[in-house]
Amino acid sequence: MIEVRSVIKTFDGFRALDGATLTVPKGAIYGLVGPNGAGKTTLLRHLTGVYRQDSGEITFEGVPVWENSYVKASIASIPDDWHYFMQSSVRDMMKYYRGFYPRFDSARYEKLKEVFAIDEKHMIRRLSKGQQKQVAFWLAMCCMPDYLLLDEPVDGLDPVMRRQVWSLIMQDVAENGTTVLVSSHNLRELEDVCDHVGVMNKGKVLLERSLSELQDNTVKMQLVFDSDEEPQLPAELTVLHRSHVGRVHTVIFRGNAKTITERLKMCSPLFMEAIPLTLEEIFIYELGGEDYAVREIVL
Amino acid sequence: MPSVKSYFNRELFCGTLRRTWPLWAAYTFVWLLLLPVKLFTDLNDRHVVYSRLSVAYELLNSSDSTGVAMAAVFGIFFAMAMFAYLTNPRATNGIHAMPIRREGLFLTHYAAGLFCQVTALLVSFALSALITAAFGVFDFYSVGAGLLANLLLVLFFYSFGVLCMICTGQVLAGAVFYGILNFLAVGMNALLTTFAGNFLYGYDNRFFTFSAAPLSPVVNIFHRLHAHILWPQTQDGGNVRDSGPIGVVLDGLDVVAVYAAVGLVLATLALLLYRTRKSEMTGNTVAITWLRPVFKYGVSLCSAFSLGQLLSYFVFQLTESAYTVGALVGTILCMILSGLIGYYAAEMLLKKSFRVFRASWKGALATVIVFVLVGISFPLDLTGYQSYVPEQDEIERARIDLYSDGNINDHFELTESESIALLRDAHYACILDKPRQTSVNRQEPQEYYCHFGIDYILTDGTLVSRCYDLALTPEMLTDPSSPESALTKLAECTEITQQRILGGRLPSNPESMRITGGYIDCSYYRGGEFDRNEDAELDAIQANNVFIALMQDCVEGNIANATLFEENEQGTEPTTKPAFPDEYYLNLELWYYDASDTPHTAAVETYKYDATVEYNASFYTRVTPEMTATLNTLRAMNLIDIPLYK
Repeated sequence: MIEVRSVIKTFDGFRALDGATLTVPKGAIYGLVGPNGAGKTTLLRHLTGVYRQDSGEITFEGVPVWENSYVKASIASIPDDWHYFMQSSVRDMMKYYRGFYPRFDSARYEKLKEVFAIDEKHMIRRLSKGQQKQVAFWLAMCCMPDYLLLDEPVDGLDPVMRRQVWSLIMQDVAENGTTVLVSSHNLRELEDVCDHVGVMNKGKVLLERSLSELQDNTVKMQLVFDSDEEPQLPAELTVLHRSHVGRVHTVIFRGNAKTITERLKMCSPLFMEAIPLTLEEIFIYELGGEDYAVREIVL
Repeated sequence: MPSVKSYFNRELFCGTLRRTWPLWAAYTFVWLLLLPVKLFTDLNDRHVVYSRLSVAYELLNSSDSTGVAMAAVFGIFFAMAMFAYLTNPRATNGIHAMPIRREGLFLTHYAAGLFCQVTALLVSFALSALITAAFGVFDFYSVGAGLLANLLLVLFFYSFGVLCMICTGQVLAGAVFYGILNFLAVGMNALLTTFAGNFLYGYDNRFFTFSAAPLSPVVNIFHRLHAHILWPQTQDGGNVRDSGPIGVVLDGLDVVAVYAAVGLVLATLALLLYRTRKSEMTGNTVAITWLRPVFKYGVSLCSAFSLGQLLSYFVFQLTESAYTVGALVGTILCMILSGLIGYYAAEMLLKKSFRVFRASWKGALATVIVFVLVGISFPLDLTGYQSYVPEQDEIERARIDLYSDGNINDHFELTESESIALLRDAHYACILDKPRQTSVNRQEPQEYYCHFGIDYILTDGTLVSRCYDLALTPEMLTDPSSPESALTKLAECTEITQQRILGGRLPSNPESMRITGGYIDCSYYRGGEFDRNEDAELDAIQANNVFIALMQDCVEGNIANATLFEENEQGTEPTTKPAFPDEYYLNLELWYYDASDTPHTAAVETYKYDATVEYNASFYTRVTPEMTATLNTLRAMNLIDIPLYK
């Protein structure tokens, strides 16, 4: 289990992390979402022991990660700006990783050669951005990590390779109980793979729940009333967003679909239907309260 | 729980060597050229016969200037190569994410850099040893000492370079810091000395001293590390040069050993700093948080004293002795301007932005206040520096430099209380004369100048130095409190006069002096016109007789006239009493051999030392009418045509 408790990090007076707290259960695939500048990458760099927090605590199974090579040996990370040596080939980097990770699986490296289909003697700097990302995955998967920390992992990969990479990760989770923390803006993709989601904004983790909980907790209702006037909705319901086209009203509520349907019956709508929200919609409407409402852009 | 593996990573070590091999190869190649290849070429030259000692000397010379230059230049190159990852955010984050502690990363990279340099040296010296052995001129000491000195140099300069790289997040900044820090102490010493010399009346800036040199490693090691030829010694400690050298020795190895120990301390400091260095500081000019204000105000200070003084020189055309308040105000204004330029330049580098003026005005104001306070403290003499004269009973001895337009132009040693009292009087006279001296426009030619430098050596060993460049006029001789009068009295005291007669540059141990000959030059004048010139060379016996007579004149106190003002060629000067009634001018030069003299920087060619050389030093004396014993001896030997004196 990864635990982050009240972590604060300041860069030249700017608080990049402002008391961030999250918990990633063991064996979970945790999606960390948030707007640009929310602090996701900063948090991941703390989790990999690159940055040291000003205050707060970051532990893996209760053990702090900072300057702990034993904990770090169980973590493989693929940052957005993966580092490789300018003169090195894939094979050179494999040797480099093998020198650090005691559980590095050379047999798996050989097996994955077929999956990634990249000449291991090729200079990495001469590979395309997508191929470099593939190399990063190739090596990370061979480290046999207990924790896989990914920052925009499939950015630059083609759809086939994306599916292949996710399939490899899922296989690791299923077979080895690997815990995966993935930060991404591709919410559609996260929705397919994550079982837990945390939403970050302004250095804080606003909410974190399992995906099913999150989807149960927010509901989009389509309502049709007999007049054009704005209907009076029950005051006890939390409205995250509302819009209407003529007499058709679309309202996002926080709460359970069943309970909200019951309450709305009081308003006597002509028609009422609960529509499940996508992760993208949840993300947008949850952050609406944090001054992140989607604004209409007039060109 | 860290283990041994946490402190060193073999794959990282080997990978680092693989990535930096071009530098390693270049370093090895240069050493191979400098040592084994050069030795082989020299020894293979059939036209020159090399002795074991000359080859040993050449090997030790490699540790001298060549070794220092190689260690200093490649020290920072290797540090840059090994720790370049700390200047690239992607590399820093990638490497710091690996499962190894910072200690492990540091020690592995540090060891890799050291390994490259040590192996290159071992290979070069081993090959050199083989080549010299093959030619039958192998010398174990020179190979061992040369190798040891170079290893110690590498340890220091590489560690110093590593520390610079840890402190910065930009690869070029590391090299710049390294270069500047190697010369900063002597540079600042020179700048501060120049400033104090200009505005602190009496400040001694006569010589460049090496007091700050230990903090400027390149300068100090260049100065201290030298190969030195050993000569057979006589019973009284002199060198017997005609029998040839007996060996070579490397002077300053102890100094280099101390620097190597300091290098280990610097490496430890670099490790401690690295442990606390924040990864996010990569790319910054200064990567250690608490060093940022040090850098900012340090740049401001250096800029003020260097650029400020240069600016004031061009704007106000200040001379060396510009004590005037106007000059001081002008210089302080230039220093404030330059200090602010340095301050904001440093702030821009730290913030990586040109928009720094509004946010950092407080620091700028503090800088201005400090320089204004510095400026005020000088004319007010807040420390009492300018008016201080040690008490008579505090002074053990003194050394003075007295260089005038007259016949006093030498360095003198004073130990007698009477002389020291006169020295203190002269010193007081200079202090009291400050208003006149500081109001002199030194851009305009003055009648007479006198340079008066004083070193008081106090009973507690303290050295108090003062220096005055005085503008003098003969008219002031009538005023007993004037520097003109006080300095003339001092110059005529027995102790100084004796030294003037004997030239003032005798060996420290007169017993080791061997008079070997001399030269006399006498110009005769009649009615103010030049008549004739006679000169003659003295043989050893004649020179010894003259020397004995000179000593007698000293003992009997046959003093010579001293004047701070210009003499005419006959030795007379309108403002002083006539020196020779019969108008002649007599100069005497005696040659001697100082048996205690030790050669310091002899080159290889010194092995061909010519044993027929009869002297290695000499002294000159202006013979005056009071020196009766000397004159009579010269006359008795028919060397001069001057009437006998009683």
